Amino acid sequence: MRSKLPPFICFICGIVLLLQFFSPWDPIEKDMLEWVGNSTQVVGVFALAIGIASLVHMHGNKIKRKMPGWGFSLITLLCVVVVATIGLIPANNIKVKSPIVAKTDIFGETNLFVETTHTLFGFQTDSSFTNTIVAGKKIPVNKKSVPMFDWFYNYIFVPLSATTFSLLAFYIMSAAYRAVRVKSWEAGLLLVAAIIVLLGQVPMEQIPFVGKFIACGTIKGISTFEYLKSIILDFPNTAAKRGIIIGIALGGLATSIKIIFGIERPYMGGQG
Amino acid sequence: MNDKQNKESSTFIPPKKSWWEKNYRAVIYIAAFLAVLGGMFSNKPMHLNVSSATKGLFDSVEAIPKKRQKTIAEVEEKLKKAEEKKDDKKIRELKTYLTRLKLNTNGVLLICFDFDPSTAPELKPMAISLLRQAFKNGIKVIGNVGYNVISAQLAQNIIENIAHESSDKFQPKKAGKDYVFLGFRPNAFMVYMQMGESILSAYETDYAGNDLNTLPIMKGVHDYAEIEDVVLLSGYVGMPEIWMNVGKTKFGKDVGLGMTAVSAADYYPYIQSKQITGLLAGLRGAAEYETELKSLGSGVKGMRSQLYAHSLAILLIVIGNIEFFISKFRKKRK
Repeated sequence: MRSKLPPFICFICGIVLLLQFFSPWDPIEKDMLEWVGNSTQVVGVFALAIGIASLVHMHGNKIKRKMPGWGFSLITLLCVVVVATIGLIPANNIKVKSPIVAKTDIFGETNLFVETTHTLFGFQTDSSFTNTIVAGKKIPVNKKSVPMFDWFYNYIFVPLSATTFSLLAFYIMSAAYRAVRVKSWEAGLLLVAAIIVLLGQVPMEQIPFVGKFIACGTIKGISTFEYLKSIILDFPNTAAKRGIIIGIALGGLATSIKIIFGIERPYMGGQG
Repeated sequence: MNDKQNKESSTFIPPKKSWWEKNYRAVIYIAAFLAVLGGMFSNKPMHLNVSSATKGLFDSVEAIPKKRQKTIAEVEEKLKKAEEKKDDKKIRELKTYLTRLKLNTNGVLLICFDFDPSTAPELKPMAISLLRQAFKNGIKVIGNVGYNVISAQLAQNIIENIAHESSDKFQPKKAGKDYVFLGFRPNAFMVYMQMGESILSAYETDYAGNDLNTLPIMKGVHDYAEIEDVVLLSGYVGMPEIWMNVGKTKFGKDVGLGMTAVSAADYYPYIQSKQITGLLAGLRGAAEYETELKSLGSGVKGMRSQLYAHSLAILLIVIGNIEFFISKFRKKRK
């Protein structure tokens, strides 16, 4: 039973979804889709619950056994509890008002006043507009109520995430010097293509003093490297990519048929 | 034998490293930092050629009000024919559809914000330009997130900020009336399929928890039939395929893409086959879009940093290869 039921469920689900995509019949096209869609969302929520349980179990064990780096685990669990709590509890009236500030964006398109209050709970910024008269001119005032959750997200998560990713730029620069070497003619070909695309991606002619010399003039009204870049991307790249896409699609189709008919059973953990 | 080996290894003196060999990493990192920083402080305007891929997406979004007027005219024509034939069921269906279409006369744009803070420097300027263009043209905007829940707050903040801009061109936009942000739901493929039948069946509330039935914008949007264009801004490979399968192939919507530069090359075949209206490739694509929109922002500003960073990368490749050939030549001579 344990080995026969999952392939049977898989077969039914596969056939139903296959029919759903092509069927114009309302009970299958609409009702069935809604049921399946809602079910997948429920499964998604359970995945989140499993994720949290796994996180708590793993870090909880580390703290319990005082394993190396248990302090970081403690911080992780604390962050989960604090951020989830302030996000899940609905916004209340604990508010701290900050002074009205005028905000003008860097290109001068915006000129409005922003009045911000900070709330402890909730996750949604509330905004409303009123107009105020300044020097005989009607100026909108944006009344914002910013919760702590937003503050955590904007000033802790966003900078940390962006910083971690931006370190890649330094590694790429280092790799450009150490690893991108012409060791064979194929590597040379790759390097030439890479340099053309790199040069074509930016307006080289606008580098002070040497830009026009590096840019090597124009072809059909656009800079030479930009033109060559578009040739590389539009022809060899597109041709190769198209082949890969067709290959992947055929492979995907074959694998789907194998899974639907139970020939391949990855969901059984390699057994059955 | 082992003793002999140990003796040899203990007396092994590594070759003396030059100053450059010891410090090249630090020098490269400082150079990279200065290249990026140098671009940030320059206010010199940058002139960019707008590629056909960018222009395609821009034109498609710009034409949304016209597309809506065309659809209204077509539906009215169908309604006349149905009235002549006295087909009551069809008349009722077309009248409901027409009422919905006329509620948002400038059309509706669906923007999918599938990026997180790591890819935001490339994709956020695209989102800002698209929102400015839509709001300037009176197009209603529906936003959602399909891949990662992390993107939701970022997307919400971007929409809020742009909606609250005011200028000579447009007044601040109101949530629920001029735009709605639906937030995230797991399993993008199924959600997008469901949205094709009824958006309300996939999302009952918006991101703030407001019932979609109560929002004025949603009175004119039932499914993809009342949405003119879909634009996906994605830092994740795989999401465009879902939109092309569902949005373009199944529901016949115009789909446009904004991708990070590294993954953009994967989607050029879809431009040639006209499965997408256009493609914004990385920061360059964002800067081109801003240039076309005549609303310069962080895309164009970031291009100068990218210009210096790319120049440095090429310089380092050239230096590395010269060094490589010199050492190869020396080894041969020895």
